[in-house]
Amino acid sequence: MKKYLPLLLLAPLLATAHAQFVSTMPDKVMPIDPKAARSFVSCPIFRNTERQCWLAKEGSTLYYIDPGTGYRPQLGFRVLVEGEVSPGPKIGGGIVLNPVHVSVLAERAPECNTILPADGFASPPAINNFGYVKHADDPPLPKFKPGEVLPLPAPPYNDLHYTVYFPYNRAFLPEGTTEVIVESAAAYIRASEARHVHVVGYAGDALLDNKRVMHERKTVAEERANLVANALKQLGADPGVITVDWQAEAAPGDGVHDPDHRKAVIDIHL
Amino acid sequence: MASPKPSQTYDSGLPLDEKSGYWATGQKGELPSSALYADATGALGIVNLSGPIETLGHPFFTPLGTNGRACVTCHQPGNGMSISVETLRRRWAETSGRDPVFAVVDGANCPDLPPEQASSHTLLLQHGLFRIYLPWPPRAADGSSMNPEFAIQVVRDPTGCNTSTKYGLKSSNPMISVFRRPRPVANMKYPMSPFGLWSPKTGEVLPIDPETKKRQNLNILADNRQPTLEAQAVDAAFNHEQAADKPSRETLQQLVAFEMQIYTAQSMDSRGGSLTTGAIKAGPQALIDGMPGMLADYNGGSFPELDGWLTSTALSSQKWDRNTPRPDLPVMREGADKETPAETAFRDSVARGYEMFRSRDILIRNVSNYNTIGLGNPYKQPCANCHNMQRTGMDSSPGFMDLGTTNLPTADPLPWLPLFKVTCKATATPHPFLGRVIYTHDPGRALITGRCVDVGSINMQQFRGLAARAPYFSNGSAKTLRDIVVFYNRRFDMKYSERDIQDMVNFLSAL
Repeated sequence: MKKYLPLLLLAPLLATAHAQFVSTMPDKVMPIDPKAARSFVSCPIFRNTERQCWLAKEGSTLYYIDPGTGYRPQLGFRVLVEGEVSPGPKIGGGIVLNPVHVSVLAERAPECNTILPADGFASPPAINNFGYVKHADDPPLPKFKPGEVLPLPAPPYNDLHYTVYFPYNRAFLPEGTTEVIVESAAAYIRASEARHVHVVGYAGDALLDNKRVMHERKTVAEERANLVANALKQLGADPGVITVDWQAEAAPGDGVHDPDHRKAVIDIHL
Repeated sequence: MASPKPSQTYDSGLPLDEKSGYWATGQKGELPSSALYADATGALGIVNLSGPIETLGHPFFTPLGTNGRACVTCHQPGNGMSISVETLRRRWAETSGRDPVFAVVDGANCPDLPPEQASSHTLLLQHGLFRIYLPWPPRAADGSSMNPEFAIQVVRDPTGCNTSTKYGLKSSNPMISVFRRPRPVANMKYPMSPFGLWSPKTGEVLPIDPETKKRQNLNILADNRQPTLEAQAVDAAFNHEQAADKPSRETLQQLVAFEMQIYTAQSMDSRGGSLTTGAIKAGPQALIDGMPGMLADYNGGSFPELDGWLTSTALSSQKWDRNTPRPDLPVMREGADKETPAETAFRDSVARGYEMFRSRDILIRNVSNYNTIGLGNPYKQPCANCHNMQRTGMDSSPGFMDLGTTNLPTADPLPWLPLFKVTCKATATPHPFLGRVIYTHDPGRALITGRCVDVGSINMQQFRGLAARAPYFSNGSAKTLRDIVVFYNRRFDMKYSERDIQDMVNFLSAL
């Protein structure tokens, strides 16, 4: 874990991982101003500043779309960009989207191959969300060091849920915070000797700014649930207490909160 | 798997070649606790941490099968626990091809070729390549046949083995023959120690070894086809040594214990002098003292034993930004006043090469199982980002990725190797950068997983003892250390100057 992530990228996560600890949590969505929401598909553009800089155009407007780590754009593929226009100075010539979710689409697109020179632009700041868009109801994540096995949490224990978010159409846990979330959940399950753990996979459409609707694969919710459940078992959670389910229907897109629906939820009951 | 019987009697009792330091099998002798072997640029050090070992009867030095080979046959102490093409050629000349290393099962271009003719062994004698024969379709760990995501055709077959009616893809026992270099069996505490719990390549939790109850790092062999040293030893006994039976538990334990306590690294350079005294304390001792499972970025760099040669004077020409701040450096090295001009030039060059390796960003691009796992394509990082395992320069993850050494169009022209056409099924996720039709000399990891995205992915190997074991890359396509650097320079458009190339070569030669 964290094998490829530069050291500086850890700091923001460690600084922000201290949300309120709650026992039961309804699904909530990221607070985004609908007027500032953007959702589009485009070729990513790489600007070769000292520290790499990811951009994408919607129409003639250039956006800065680096999601930090987690799942970055790839030349050779289009990306689905879903984010919120952020006030403040441009980065790399692009209007900043923050938070931003970037999903690399599966179909190869060799024409997406633009590398811009630095052209005097400064490097993006060395801050990012570590591949993780903070949700207000997320349980706290422990401080960790790369490669370190998380300690078991201390009591008291309560019913709790963890949520793992995925890029559009993918069921893959990239290195970074998603791994820590699953590790934290496994540690909590073990420490609390949970009676029942229910893992549910979800999928969500994307409503683009041009009103086009993109649908995730039919099986992706099931894949997400199984991926997370298997990881929990591999991490020592009792397989006998884990049940797996998924929602057959994808949540419809609204062009604002769509990334919040692509997830697996780990419900822990004591 | 067809395991042909030896068609020639091999002389396993050939004596130790004092001149070359070649260890023959089944000999009475002693592997000392430490030794130096001359190599291309100086001398290789080897430390046998458990103390002197009587080789007669020791399973690493004793044939486990029927063709006279032992583990040591292809993992020679004097060759950094691999075997160099130079040693192979010399051994052919000395024994008229009767050393067991030339056993036709995998030491010939194909087992049905006349064993006594050098022309039957050209891949071994010219490129240091052994035949690795793998079942087609691939088999799962439980032995069941898999349904791979791709079809494979033989486009070119210079060895004749892939089109052989007995050993080929269309034989009654279908198999694919690829040709690979033996990997060094030393410093194994490093590749065997996982970093964390996850494989970033698959996004899955690393499996647990049922024997040791520890996480498996899946970081041995070119294709990671065996998860543990025990499993690798069994595989080697059957397929390389043509054993009739599985080695006993005691034998396997002895083999693993030996492999885990043998250390090797370059110890002396003919231009730069000692690598183990003065300002740096490199050589095998650095590996013995080092902690496994350490990520270079977070723990003082890739090869901290070389830090003593880094000076602000040596690195004065290097102006790039660094992801990781570098501590202030001294102007001069310890003992610099006693250095000869040749030593100073070499040590400064190694320092520059090391600093380039660890901190000069390049656009790492179109590498399947690296740029595709969330990092972005390109990913602007130094060499050390992939080669992130401290002390070995391996990948701390399961290290398989498609650098392009075996897939066209990035692979060097290798007309002596077979060429395959891989056609991925419409339902499969295609190779991210090459699509659904791929031409390759070696599908690598894909021959184990059956996945299209893994075509050409080869596991990284350690950087140690390089000067003693040319050629390099799994397919031997880099005859020299310079060829390695030139390949990367072209592959990633690194814009190295001639001096940069030489600095990298000198750095690699000092490991």
